[in-house]
Amino acid sequence: MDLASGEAVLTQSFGSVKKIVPGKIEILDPAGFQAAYDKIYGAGDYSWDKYVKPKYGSLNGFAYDGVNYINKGSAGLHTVVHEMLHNNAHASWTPFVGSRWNEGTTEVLTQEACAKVSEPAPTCYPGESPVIREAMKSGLPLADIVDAYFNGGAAFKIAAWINDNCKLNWASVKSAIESNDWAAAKAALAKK
Amino acid sequence: MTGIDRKSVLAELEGGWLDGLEGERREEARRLLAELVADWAREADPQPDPTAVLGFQREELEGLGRGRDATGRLGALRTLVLSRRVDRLNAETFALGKTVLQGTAEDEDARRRGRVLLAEAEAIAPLLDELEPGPRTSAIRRDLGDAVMEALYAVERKAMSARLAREDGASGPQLRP
Repeated sequence: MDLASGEAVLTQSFGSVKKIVPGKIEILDPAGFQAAYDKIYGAGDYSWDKYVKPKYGSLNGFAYDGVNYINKGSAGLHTVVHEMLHNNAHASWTPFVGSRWNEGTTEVLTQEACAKVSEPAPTCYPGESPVIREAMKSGLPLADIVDAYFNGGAAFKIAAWINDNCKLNWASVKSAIESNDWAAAKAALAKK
Repeated sequence: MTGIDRKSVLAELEGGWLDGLEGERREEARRLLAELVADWAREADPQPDPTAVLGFQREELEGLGRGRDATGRLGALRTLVLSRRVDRLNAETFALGKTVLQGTAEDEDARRRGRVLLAEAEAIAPLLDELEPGPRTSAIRRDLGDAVMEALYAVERKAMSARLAREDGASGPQLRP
């Protein structure tokens, strides 16, 4: 699990659409991850030993001061691919589609890229990504999703397509998925 | 538009999902089914086509229980109910985190709300230990972890979940070059 492998996986699938920025991800072994957490919360009531470990056992990741920290104990190459994808999305993508549609799409693209190199990519977003798959089942082309994700234009390539082709409009779909109402979002995406 | 018929949906589900379960396990499954159907109705009833929403909800449940014996089906029910509880919590923590980031939350109120949501997360966490290990359980743990980091952010204003940080635009986390 390293950045070069993640970059290679993404370049093979999407290199012709966008030059993939490898970036640097803070993937830490469990001890390093705990230390990074305690640099922030170690002095108070929410330290790892006083709070996280007894209440939750561990954590998968967190963000602080512009850095994304990932616990290697619960990550795989697919995690690197997923996080690297986020860093390559067009600046207008997430503000327009919202967090849940963004996560679902990022997972779909992770799975598509990993499948090409026979790398396992389990479903980590069982609510979000099936909603995107449902849109694809209704006819939303993957190529348009990829184009909107990397190059922008989701208002036309995603929202307008849904307005024209699905039972409910984009505003309804977005409202449902942002509320974590996955079944409602899928029903809204049925073909007109 | 009327909502889904909770009573008949529940009766139909009990017909199959309680089979082979006795005593406390049967009562637990009954409680879980009742909670599930109530939450399905919460989601489906405001929609223009509640029956279509119900169809997707049932499809998910059936998929989790397919080919499982009575114990496996009880495990599937626990998984789905907890997954939906975490989804609800997670929607609240994310919304709270966004209001803090946007500066639209009243400071002390947001901290108080964060502490309430943290207490909810703490109550759910031990229940996850009863779930079967697997990708679905890992996903619930990750979602709960995100909820914890968002609620903690509302209380302490320090670290947050990666997805909340992505809402923070330029000051959110980047993969460092």
